[in-house]
Amino acid sequence: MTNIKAQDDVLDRTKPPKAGPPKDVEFPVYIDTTLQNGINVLVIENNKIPAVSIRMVFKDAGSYYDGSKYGLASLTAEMLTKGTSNRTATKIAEDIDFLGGSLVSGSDWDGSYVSLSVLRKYLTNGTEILSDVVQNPLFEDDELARLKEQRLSSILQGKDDAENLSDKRFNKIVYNTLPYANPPEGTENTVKNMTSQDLKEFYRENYLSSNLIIAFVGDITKEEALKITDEYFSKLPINGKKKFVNNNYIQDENRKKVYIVNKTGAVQSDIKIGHIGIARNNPDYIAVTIMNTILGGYFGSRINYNLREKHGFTYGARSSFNPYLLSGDFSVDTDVRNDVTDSSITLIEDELKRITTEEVTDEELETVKNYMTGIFPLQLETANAVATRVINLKLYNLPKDYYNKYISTINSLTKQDLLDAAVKYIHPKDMTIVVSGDAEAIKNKLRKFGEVIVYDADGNIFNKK
Amino acid sequence: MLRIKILILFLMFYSTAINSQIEFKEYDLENGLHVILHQDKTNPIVCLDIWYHVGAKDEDSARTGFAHLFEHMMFQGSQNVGKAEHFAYIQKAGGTLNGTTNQDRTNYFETVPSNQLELLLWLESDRMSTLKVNQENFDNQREVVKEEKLQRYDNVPYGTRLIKLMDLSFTGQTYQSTAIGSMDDLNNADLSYAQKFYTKYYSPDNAVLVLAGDFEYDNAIKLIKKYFGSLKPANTTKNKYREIFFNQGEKTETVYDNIQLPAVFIGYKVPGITSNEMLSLEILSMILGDGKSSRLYKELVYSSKAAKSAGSFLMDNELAGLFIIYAMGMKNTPTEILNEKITEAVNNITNGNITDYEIEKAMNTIENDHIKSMQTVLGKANTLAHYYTFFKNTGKINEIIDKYRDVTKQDLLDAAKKYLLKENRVVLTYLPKINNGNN
Repeated sequence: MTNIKAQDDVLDRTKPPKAGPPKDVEFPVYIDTTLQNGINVLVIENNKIPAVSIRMVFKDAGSYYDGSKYGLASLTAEMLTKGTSNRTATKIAEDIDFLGGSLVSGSDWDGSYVSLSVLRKYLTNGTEILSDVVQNPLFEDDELARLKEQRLSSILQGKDDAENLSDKRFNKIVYNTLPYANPPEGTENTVKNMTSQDLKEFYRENYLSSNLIIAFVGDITKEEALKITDEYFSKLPINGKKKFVNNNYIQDENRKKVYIVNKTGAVQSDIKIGHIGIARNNPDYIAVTIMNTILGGYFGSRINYNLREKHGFTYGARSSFNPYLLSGDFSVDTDVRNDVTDSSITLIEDELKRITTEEVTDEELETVKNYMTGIFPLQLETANAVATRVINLKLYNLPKDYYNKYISTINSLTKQDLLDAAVKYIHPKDMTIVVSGDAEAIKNKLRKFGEVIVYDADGNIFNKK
Repeated sequence: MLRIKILILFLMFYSTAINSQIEFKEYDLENGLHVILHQDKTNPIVCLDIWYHVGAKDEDSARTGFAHLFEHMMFQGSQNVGKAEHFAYIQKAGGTLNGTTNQDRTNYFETVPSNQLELLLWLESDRMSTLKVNQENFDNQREVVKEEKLQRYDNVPYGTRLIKLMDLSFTGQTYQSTAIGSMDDLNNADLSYAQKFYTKYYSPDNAVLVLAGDFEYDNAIKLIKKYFGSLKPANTTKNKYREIFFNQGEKTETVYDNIQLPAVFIGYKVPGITSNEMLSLEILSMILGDGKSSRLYKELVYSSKAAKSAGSFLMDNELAGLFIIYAMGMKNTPTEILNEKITEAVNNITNGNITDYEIEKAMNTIENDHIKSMQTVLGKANTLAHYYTFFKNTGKINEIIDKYRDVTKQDLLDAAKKYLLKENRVVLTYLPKINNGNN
């Protein structure tokens, strides 16, 4: 007991202890090099655990290029692991599962990807399978038929999911003329009509070394990464046919104010309120993110505090800017019980008005700056989390020093900057309100916000029998 | 008033540093708080993870959901921290936080930049010793939890499956209710009981504190003593758990839900987590239903195209758990077919058809998943707390893979024959509501 210093004995619990001196946070060093065949090789080395991921991303090969065949990019990506000239679908699953690792392929709006994750000791075996599925897929008819059946079941199942229903309706209205308006997983019609020929063509035109990023992540060196790229991934064609997509955005002038997607018997309303937003490489993106964090971007945000902690209307409420390569959207999302659906919308509308008319407080600004800069090292904890950021730099054409300047950019923002960002990118009068819920229970109360139109889960105008 | 007699019992265990082993130190404070320290300086962050050994199984039968509702109370203020201030402090420090409740334990964790370590100790010790919740905040969180129940269970397709499986499997026994509880009990929950619950279970001698990340051992030990050393133990005697019975005969129930696709969920009752048989059952659940090369996937989804998805997993609890098998049918698949094919796959196992290749495959996955869970300080903290709380053997974190490797084919067969029996299971069938009555 005598070894306890006097100052330790006096503990004042009434005040929070002072923080120690902050440690410098630097974005990890990584390798970024482009080979002659156009492949962009990234190496994010980290030997904390004996595991390696190889993440392949094909830029400009996502659902944005589906054309009228919604679901094309995602079906093509998924079919990569469903049979090659060397392995059947079952053999691919067996081989990767035997390594205890994972092999995943898929697509999002702006790219298609194939990722391998294995323990270091299985790297060669895993790489061989990855190389096979990316370079030698067969797109066989019977495997496609199987996958289509699965996909149709998923689409059917999606009609039970309240959030999915409001998201679908919201995207259709908000993105209107842009491809982001369409369902990336496809519709019943487009999936049914998809042929292996469609997939082969999409693969041929989009899986090119000139738009390929390969990120080697974890317990691996630059030399190993370059050797693997050369040995295993040099079979893809360099260039393909140039695609044309109409990027012209026109707002739907005939849109209504309130859309209900009916879900008879629902005990909650899934609310989504918003409008068109910004692309990922918008120079105001960081200011917008900081402003949105105060509005509804974290647990202590205005919207979550108000709806959850003050009123007990919901388990959680958030707002977000969802940015893609060529555009994006802004939305406030929450689930609330039926009888507070309208009150919740009113509270949200009030917050949208407030953020666009008044400066945030000094306290709010200081908190959000501390939060965003403080969680930065948390966000860089795993090699894969770092890799995701590095890949995004490349995928969204962001400046090379984006993350090196990230903290100083945040710290330089003023209350006026945030108000400017809110005024520029949030338009309270322009909001579309989408609610998936029991139309009978909520419809009348929503009329106060404007004209109400009701759809069913299939996307048809809902007429009560 | 307060006798300042803070003493750490210097019973430290130093584990040896072998490749990819997790090094840690552990000791008890005099008040019974078990402390585990794991240093990892690869990132300038630190994670505090406190596990209270109380969960849904400790609730009185008419107060289901209370342990979880109480978890929400822990964010509502204490002597020196007001409502909403707990998360405000953490967020202002640049950290993340949360709490979770399951059948057996409740945990609270924060990860922050490492220069903010002391703040975490201040916050957690304050709410471990002086929680202050008023009626308004209690009512507010009751509403939040009710919305959580609606959003995560009641308004979700098949959202009640686990609730129903537990209810049927453990009728009249411990574990009958899951952590979310019933709406009626949530509505009836009262503030005065919260105080009793707090006094009984939220004490240093019912908790383990894990600190993982960037800190110096000497400083951490000193600070933990400073903030937690003077807290009083509760010396609580826990409620007696109700007896759990096996082989009660097959039970079945059909649920009509707002769904498009029919589904079957089957739960076999299995022993508590410390039983060696659980290692065998884990391997069996992987052979049967983990991944696209598993038996259930190949048979139900790939070959017969009867199901959209199928698989199996182990739900492990302290005293008894469930070996769960599920299959989601295609639109017109009769659920009898799903049930038949699952039963066939299980019988195939109990008849002794297990290959060395399948065992090796399962082992490789278990090893892979174990190593991957060590990527984050929170992942490591949770694993350390888990092995201490349920096994009283923190070092198991470094032995578990070898324990799995020791399992023999005969062990697998014995476990399958003992637990994967028709009379030891419940079968839950989900059908679209529209079929109710006619069709």
